[in-house]
Amino acid sequence: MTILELKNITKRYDDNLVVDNINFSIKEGETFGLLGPNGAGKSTTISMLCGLVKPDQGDVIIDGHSIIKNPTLAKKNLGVVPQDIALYGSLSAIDNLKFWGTLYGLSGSLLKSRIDEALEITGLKDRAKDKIKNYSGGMKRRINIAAAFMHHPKLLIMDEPTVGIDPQSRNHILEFTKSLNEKYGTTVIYTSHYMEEVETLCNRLIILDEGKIIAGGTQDEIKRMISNEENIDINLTQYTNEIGLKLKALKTVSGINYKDGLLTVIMKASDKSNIQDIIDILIHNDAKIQNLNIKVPNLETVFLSLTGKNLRD
Amino acid sequence: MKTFNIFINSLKLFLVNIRTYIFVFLIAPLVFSFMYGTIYKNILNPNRTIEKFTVAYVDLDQSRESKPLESIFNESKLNKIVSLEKLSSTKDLNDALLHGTYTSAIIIPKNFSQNIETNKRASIKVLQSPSAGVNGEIISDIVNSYCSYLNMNRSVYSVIMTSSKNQALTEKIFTSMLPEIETDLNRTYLTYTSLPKAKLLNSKQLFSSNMLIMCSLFIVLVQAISIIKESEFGTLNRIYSTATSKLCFYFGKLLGTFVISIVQILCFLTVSTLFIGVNFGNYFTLIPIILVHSLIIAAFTAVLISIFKNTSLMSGLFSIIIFMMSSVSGAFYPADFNAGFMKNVPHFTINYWINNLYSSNMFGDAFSSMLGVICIALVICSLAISFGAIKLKYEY
Repeated sequence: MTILELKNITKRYDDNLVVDNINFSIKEGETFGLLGPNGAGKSTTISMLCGLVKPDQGDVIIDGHSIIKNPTLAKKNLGVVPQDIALYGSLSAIDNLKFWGTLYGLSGSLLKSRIDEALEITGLKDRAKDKIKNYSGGMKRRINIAAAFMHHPKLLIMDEPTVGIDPQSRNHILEFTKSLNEKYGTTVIYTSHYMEEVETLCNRLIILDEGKIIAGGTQDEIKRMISNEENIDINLTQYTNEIGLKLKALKTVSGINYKDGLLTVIMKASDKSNIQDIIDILIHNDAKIQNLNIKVPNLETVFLSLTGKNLRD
Repeated sequence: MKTFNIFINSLKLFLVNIRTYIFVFLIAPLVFSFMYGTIYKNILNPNRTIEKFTVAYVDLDQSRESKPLESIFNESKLNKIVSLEKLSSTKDLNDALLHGTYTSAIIIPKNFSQNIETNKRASIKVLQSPSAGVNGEIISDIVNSYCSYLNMNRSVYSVIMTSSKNQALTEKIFTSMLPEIETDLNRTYLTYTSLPKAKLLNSKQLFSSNMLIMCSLFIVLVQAISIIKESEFGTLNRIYSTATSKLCFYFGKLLGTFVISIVQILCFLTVSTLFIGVNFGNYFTLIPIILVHSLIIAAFTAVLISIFKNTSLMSGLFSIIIFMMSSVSGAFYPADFNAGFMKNVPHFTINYWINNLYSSNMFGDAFSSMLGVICIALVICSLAISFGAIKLKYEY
């Protein structure tokens, strides 16, 4: 059964087309990845899913209800984990959970049991009465997620829930997200800058760039889209724009990216013999090669190939 | 129900800084009311009386026309506050005035009667000591009235003399008028009427109500900042992503502001009554005034959050506006001290209209006399709150 459907969603800010006629649907129980470089239109799409921004065209249907025509019913089964910590820092965790729980329509003993459950999941029962502002970044993130899940929504949108936290809290959040499917059958929309998180969690995903869906499907389907390409990572001591221009001029090179001493060259898999040409260009331009690694396609390389950018750019 | 939850949350957020707010909204205005009340105690004391003061009287003319003025000042009731000290010359008079020996000095010039007889204006010199104040004004007014009377008579004679062609008739008029004028000059026209006690507030009443209003306007600022910060911190978007309507949020927050304002006003009225002895008047009629005052605070908050999206701009601008409104309407000095066009400026401030209600209650006025202001306030508040609600509803 379809839990979310986006129909021809378009959004402009002045003359800038931010989201361009997006269509996709998500089935109940899926964990769905939404990827895209900065400025791709992810946040605007999520804002339209949550009913915070009105689309110029199209509609969002959540559990059979239009977010435009019937926002109250559509939002009833929606939980949103915002990218930034959206909690009251001067209030305790228990007060925050109580407040968000009541806004999700919980009350009485159900509210109390859900608060207990949230504190249990986050592992913060001992610090339930502490003010949020005194928590570590990871703790705040955990409460941020728990607050969105208190009413056990059918659809949970998690917008970069692991930004800026320690590995321990990150693992905790990933484990929790995995359990949402298994334990509660919750459908999750997950966005992240960490490709390995998306690879671990998501069954299906779409990649957005410049407001359009440039790829969509299961991970295997997406990887197959660029199976005829390979990435070569080269650690260099020196890089100049001239090197970049010469490499791009090679017929077999479909893209390059340089950041922090690492040069990534995307080339056709069938033309491995041309690696020698790349090395010659580098040596000829006094760039000392420290390391060279030929990578098989993963989501990161797919992303790079499709958008020409690293996910964290 | 969600409105109620947002209201409760709003109270919780306010209570986080309760110690600061107790100081800012309760202790500070109380201290300022007491301080200003004490400073202006003598000037604004409604029960103040005029102490007997001495006036130097120098009659250099010693004529029939000058004598009656002396009689006026020696009249028994006026004599209770004015002690006339007759001097033969003006020697050392300036020094005596400067040292405060005399409040004022009346100097009748040598040619006073001659001027009247030759149809010139009668004038008497009044000198005042630097500290003469209202006492000096009393003396000036009496002397001025006396001169006016003489000058008016002089004008009448002059007109008769120049207009009449019939000398016999003119003589007849003067023969019958002069004894009348003679009698008139020596008769006192001072009448004493006991007036009902003037409606005046004492200094503490005046400053307490003004300080209360100024502080309650700062509650507007605190609440508006708290609401706008919800947007800056992302909690507002999170609230809107739940099945909570914008109007639930709006009215929940305004309800919070309304209740906080009521509590602040009640606490201030209680402590100022208990600790500095301010009488705010009838308690029953005070209740609707407090409710209207709190509604104005909530409506003002609604207007601010509808207009501003940035807390720093709003707090800077609105703090200046609060201080200016409070200042001209008498939070730091009595508004009656305003001169010229500034006298009317307070009418354009919220402080003035709220204070008008408290003052009426402190005067003991009937509630019906306050109904006009209350009704206008209710209509304006309803419009302001509706404006905020409509703007928010159609703002995606």
